[in-house]
Amino acid sequence: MRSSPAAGGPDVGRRLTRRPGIGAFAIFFGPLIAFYAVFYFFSVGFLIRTSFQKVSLSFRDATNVGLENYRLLIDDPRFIDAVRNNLVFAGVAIVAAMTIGFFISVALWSGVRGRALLYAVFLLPTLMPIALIAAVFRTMLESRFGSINEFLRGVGLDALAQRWLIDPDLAYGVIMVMFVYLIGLPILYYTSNLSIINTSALESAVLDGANPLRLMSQILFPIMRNTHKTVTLSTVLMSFRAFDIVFFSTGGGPAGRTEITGTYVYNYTTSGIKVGFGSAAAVLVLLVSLIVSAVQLRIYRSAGAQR
Amino acid sequence: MPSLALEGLTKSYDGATEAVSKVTLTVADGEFLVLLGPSGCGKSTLLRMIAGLETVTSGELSIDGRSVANVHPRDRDIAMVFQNYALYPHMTVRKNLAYPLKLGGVPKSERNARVEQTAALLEIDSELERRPGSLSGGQRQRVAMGRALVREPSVFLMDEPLSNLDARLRMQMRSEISQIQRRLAITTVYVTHDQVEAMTMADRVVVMNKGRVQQIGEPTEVYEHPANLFVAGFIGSPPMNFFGARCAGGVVTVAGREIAPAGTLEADSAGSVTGVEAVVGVRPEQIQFGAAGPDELAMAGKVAAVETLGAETLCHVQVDLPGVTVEAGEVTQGDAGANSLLVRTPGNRSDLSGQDAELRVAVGSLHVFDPSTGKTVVSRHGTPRDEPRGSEAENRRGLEDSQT
Amino acid sequence: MMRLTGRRRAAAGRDSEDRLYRSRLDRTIMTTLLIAMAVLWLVPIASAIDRALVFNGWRNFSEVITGDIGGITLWQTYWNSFAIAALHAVMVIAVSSLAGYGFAKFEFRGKELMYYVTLVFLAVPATSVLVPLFFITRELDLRDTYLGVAMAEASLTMPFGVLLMRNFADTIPDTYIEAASMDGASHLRTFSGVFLPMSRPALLSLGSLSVMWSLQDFLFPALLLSDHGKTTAAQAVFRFKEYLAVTPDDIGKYNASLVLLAVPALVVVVASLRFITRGLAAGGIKE
Repeated sequence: MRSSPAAGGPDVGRRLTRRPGIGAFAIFFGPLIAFYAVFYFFSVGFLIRTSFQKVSLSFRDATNVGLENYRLLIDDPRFIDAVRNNLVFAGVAIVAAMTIGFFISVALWSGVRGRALLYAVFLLPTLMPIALIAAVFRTMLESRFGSINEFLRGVGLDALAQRWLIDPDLAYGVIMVMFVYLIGLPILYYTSNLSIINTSALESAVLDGANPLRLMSQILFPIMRNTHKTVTLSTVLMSFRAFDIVFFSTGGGPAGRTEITGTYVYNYTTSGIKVGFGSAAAVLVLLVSLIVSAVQLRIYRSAGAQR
Repeated sequence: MPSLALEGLTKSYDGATEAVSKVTLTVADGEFLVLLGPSGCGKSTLLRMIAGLETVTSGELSIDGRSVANVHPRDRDIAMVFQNYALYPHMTVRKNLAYPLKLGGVPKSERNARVEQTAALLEIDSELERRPGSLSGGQRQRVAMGRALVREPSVFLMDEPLSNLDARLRMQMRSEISQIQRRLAITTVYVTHDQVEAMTMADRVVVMNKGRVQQIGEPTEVYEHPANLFVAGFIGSPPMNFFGARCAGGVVTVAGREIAPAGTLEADSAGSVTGVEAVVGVRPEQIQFGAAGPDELAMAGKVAAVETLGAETLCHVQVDLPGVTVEAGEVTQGDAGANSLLVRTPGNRSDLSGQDAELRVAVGSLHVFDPSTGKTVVSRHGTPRDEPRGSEAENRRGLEDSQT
Repeated sequence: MMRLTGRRRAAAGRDSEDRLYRSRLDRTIMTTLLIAMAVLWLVPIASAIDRALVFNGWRNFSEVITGDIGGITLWQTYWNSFAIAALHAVMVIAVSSLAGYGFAKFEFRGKELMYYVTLVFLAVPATSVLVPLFFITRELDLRDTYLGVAMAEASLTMPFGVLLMRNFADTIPDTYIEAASMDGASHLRTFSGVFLPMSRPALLSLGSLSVMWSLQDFLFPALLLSDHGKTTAAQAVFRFKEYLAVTPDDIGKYNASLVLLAVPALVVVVASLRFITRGLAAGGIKE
């Protein structure tokens, strides 16, 4: 990676008009620095401190327990499962994004009537409060009165009517379906990058008589490799932020089967008692998010340097 | 007192390479000075140093006798027209023009008067309520000039202001800018890579390359008496022809004919560059078809290609002269084998294509350069024989002598 | 990308038609597949509306609209949501447009490192900072206030805001800043008089996204607002359930409330979809 000329070093301050004085620096960066000082630097320090403590949400009478919380954490099979589920759901979402999402984006891009409307159908659920979407799924899949089971019974397929959210394996599948359902961001990334690709390779392949599926898989898919990276990273990050999906549909149950890190940390934090333990879990989740961000920034930088 | 004075002005970004190197020059009050050079030659950096947008690494810079190297741009009493005009898209033309005055604390009534006056001068008074986005390229150009002129600065800076216009408009704006500049007698430094702009607009041209000043002079002087290979090759379109020559005992000979007397080229430096002993240059319009006279060099060749431009014809003629490749003022390759001379001749001469031809060129119009330093050792500007040689040409020759 | 106008985007779309297909059959097959998937995607929405009408039909809606649900009306949740969203957007825009200008147009040692540190918090999950944010909000005495929730949300939105504003500021040629500087404007003056007016597209994107994200947020209101009167629309999904999903009879009413709680976000998203998609696309990694 070549260092960009703005990366600092000898040319810093070469323009008279662009060297901020103390006053200008304070005006432009003061608010940001204050915000970060409180909400990130203090926060992270506070979080790390409580992760070494046994403390309640009143933050009084904290006792130092050293690494105890972390030891308990990695011994807790439920936490290990939560991390594993997180990765599984992220994996499912990535695969769905790169197959279904990619297909939908290309199909939209290739020109259909009512493209804007179709685009909105796939995009809007992602932009709604996820709590709402999850709640809708929950009522839809409710075993007695949910519309899915009523529909199945109605057409005489009683055998297929299931206890969707109560059977652990089915509930697990339902969460996966929801991760696939919230496919809007990948479609947005694919769509916006499809509009700027160079299509000469595609055009010559069409002239050679390639069919649409072949064009998609052999020409367009490889061309879009940088978008795949964006989609992959944003999907991983989304999975760590996807607290609402699980919380509002299964609540992490049944019996912790669909627990993800978000619900795990939330439950310990809001239970009000094992806050130190929850903090330890939070520290680990935070660490992962920072690492993924750093990777994302690296890719972003090198993509920027190539331009 | 010069309006603007630069003394050893240097700009270095990393301490080692110099983007602008020891530039010393003065600009007289009311003078139109053009900084000319290829992209990356440092001309824009130099202008931006004058403007105060870049810091000065070393050297002195003064405006109206006041040292300004460490003065903020707004306090230098200068104004600048940017290449992309930098018109504020959200303000009307009137507000764009008034903005510098408003910031300068000029009272509203005076502000209005000056805006109206400037708009009238530039003939944009009917566009005052429009926004830049709805203006044509030429109008934007005028507004950009107006915004600079309205401040009545003591030095007016322009950074390639015509490069965004189409050819026709560029021609028109060239003469308009010249006229306004003369009318207001405002000291102007103008950066361009377009030699036509430099030739037509400048009182004096500063030719720059690799951060260094190559030559300072009036446009005709720079054209007729280039100081070195770089200036010779850069100024003129189509460019000057170059070929190699022998230099035995300091005497430069072409095709067995002496064209520069002993002593003009030092023997020890000659021949040091890729086997080229001396470089000779001649402008395409100085070569003619026909049998050579007494003061002329004769060359035989074959017309390989003809480009008819309507009023004139450019002929590529294969000749038996050692070729040299000159890039950015340096001899990069000697003895390039067969050589082709570009000949510029009036009228439509497509009939010459493929013909064997005799060429003649006045010895007095040949330029001789030292291949190792690139410096001009002989620069005599001759005119074709069928035109009367005016006293001006004689004067120039005298002038040239005094220079060397 | 940010500056691509709607018209140009549409034109690019038109050009792409028929790029992929050899025949009408190809196109028909693809279109059919696409529409089939769209129908699948609509199932939950159709289900919610269908369920919202059970037992009492449209009365479910009118009762939710007019009634008091667990101490709060639907309208109050809308108001709460928008108040927090507006505060959140104002904070994010103010702080990140200043910093975005600084990062793009200032030069100083350590700038890129500072930018990197700013962006590394881009993907912090809200759940991981619940504990410290609860503590900070309590110490600032901002529990049960709109400002407390908006600030907590703004802390998570800020890195994206700075990214977006710097990226946009980078696309504004330096000559505008230089011209303003030569005209005699200070940095603050250039920022307010030249940069902000020129940043309208980015500010619209960032504003729309900030409002949308705030409307999506459930966690911070749930953590920081215990006063039922301050319940936001997203939070009400949870609170209304306690009051509406008790008896089977209430299922219709609960689903009606879900449909109605989607209204604020839907209105915002539909009204500013162009700005939202543009902002999100600009924040992603570009080709």
